[in-house]
Amino acid sequence: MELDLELIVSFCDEASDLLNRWEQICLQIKKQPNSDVWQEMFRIAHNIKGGSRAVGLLEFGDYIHKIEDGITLLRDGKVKTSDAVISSLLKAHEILVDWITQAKTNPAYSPKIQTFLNQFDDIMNGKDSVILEEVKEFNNSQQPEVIQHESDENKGVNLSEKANVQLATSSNQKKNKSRGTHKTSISANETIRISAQKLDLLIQSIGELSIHQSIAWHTKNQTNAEQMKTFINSLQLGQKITKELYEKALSLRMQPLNSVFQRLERNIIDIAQTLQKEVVVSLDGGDVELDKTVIEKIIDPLTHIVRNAVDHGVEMPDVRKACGKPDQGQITISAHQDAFGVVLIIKDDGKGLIADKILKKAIEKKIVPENTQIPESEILNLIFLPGFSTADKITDVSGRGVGMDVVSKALYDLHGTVRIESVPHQGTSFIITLPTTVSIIDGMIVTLAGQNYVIPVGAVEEVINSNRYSTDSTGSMICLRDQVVPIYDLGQALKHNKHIDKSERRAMLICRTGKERIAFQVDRVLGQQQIVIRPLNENIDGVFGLLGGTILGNGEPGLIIDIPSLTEHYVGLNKRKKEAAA
Amino acid sequence: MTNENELRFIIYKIGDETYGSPLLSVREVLEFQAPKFMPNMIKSFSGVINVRGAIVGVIDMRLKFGFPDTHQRKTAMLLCDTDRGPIAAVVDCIDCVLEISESNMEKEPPIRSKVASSYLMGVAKNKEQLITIIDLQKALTEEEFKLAV
Repeated sequence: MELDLELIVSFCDEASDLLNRWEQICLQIKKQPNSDVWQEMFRIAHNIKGGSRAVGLLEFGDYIHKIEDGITLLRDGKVKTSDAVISSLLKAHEILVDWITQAKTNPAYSPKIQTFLNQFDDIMNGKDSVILEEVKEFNNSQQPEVIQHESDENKGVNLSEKANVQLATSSNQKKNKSRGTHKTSISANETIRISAQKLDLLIQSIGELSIHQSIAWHTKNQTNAEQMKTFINSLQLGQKITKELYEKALSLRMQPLNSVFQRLERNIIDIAQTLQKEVVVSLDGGDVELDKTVIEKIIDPLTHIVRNAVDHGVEMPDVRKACGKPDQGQITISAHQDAFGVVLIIKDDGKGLIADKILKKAIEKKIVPENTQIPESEILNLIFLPGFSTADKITDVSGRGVGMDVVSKALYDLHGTVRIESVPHQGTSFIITLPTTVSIIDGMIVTLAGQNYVIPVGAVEEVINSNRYSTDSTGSMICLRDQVVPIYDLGQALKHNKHIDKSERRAMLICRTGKERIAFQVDRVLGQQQIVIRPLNENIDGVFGLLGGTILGNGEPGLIIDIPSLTEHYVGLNKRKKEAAA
Repeated sequence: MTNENELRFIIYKIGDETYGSPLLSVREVLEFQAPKFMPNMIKSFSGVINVRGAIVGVIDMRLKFGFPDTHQRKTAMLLCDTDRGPIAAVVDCIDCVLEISESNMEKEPPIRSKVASSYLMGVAKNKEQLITIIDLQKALTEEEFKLAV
């Protein structure tokens, strides 16, 4: 049978929607067993089977056909719902998701699934008590290191059985790796599902715009006052509609957070099972929308936070009991919209962060100097600095060298922020703010050597008038509230070779990385406005010191300066200088 | 219609020399606009311009080919689509579009030229005038514009 890649891709997109629902059902059953949903799951499996065979993915069809048989047994009540059943259905889901991701680029892809199918059959035939353990492990193969760890501990026990699982795991590891890379790279032909309503509104606006455009065209040469008024009026309306159009077009990229929440929930449940902890997840605000790019980029940091919450936050059931808490830990993930964007809160009711311990560790690791006075609220945020890890021992679930600094870096890249609130023995909350879209930021327009640049407002701590502060004779340091801050000329930092008159006192931007501050001198600060970021093409993208570009109000291109990189660069330079001197 | 052995070239001047490039390798000709400076780029990269809302880099062919950098000149820009995105090349002036038959083109000319052989397509003769034919696409993509920091 001839394979049509285009058909396969559209099948895969459809199937991944259905598979999302599949996962949802599994998670739902886990919380609240309900036999009605099997009918829906059966229908999903059946639809996917039909679709896959229609586009020629026969092997895929055979696989899901076997799974469908199992679901039929569940639907007809011949097999009872159990943890093993749900785990194996989630595993089946994982294989399916992986398969369709691969099939998009390689229709001939065919994973090794026989081991899993045998186990699946066994479970569906009621032998679940015997192999429950094995399936649990199998299900966890999405965290390969966990398996490795466990089987090391249980060496010698049931060797033949383990070997079997190990084999399947290794093939899974490979698949997971390739899946990982697939997720990070956004393919050029990526598709988005859009509600028809949004599209209709967009088309309506375009229609309106073209009416005003034609009115303007027909009245452009008229000289009488009445006609002139019509002309100007339609120009103004056209401008208003253009603005609306832009907003509507951007909203096409907005996607609800549901899918992210579902993945996090799945992750929490998987980890909790591995660590033998009991966790209840509650979700709120899954209908809040975020830009697709933002959604894709926050999944990893959020996963890291929830992993931490389960691993380090929530205690073992017996410890919880001793503290007078319910056995089951509670993790709440919620989202709401506020004036600046979207606020995400991940809250656990675990043991909380202990400020003293964090400060001690930070001093030990030389992240902060000894005897420093840091307000308690800031101590917690030290865990976001590079080189910090609170875990006493490195566990397999979290603490794999990826620290919280990666989380804060990822959020920074999205122009978001993260903050911690924690009460010992009551729990920890991560409060994350994100802009709804990455393509519009608040920018400060500054002039350097006669050229206008944009600086993201969030990157600047404050703007000062250098006249009001004392500088040293060479103008290389400024005394800012008892702190000596080195001054750098932003124009020179960007290698502007035009002569810069240093005698002139100018505005300074105070920027900070960690505990170090730097003052960047600019010629003038022109104002603040919303900036629409234009992607730079490959020829000019990724230049040191620049984040991107935009078109300014006067039609000129404006480059967006990467203040954090420059700040870090100069702080590093200073440190090396000091070290060399010492 | 052009016949098979005859190709159309856009003819332009840089310094006192005449160059030509396949017409279809150029997307459009732009009026000169002063590029905005961009840091950490190679010397022949003169900055960025706004082409209907897109930010496009500019390469000064005069500097690329090693001509002296004179500022007072009436110039035009050739906008090319490359694999790495659009890029504009500044030339001194654009002459015309010429059809040059293959027989009038020397593929491997025994001359020394400012043009690297990797993107030199040949030398064509038109009314006693020699035109250096270059592969503009290749010329604009062979080197990285960014400087390593």
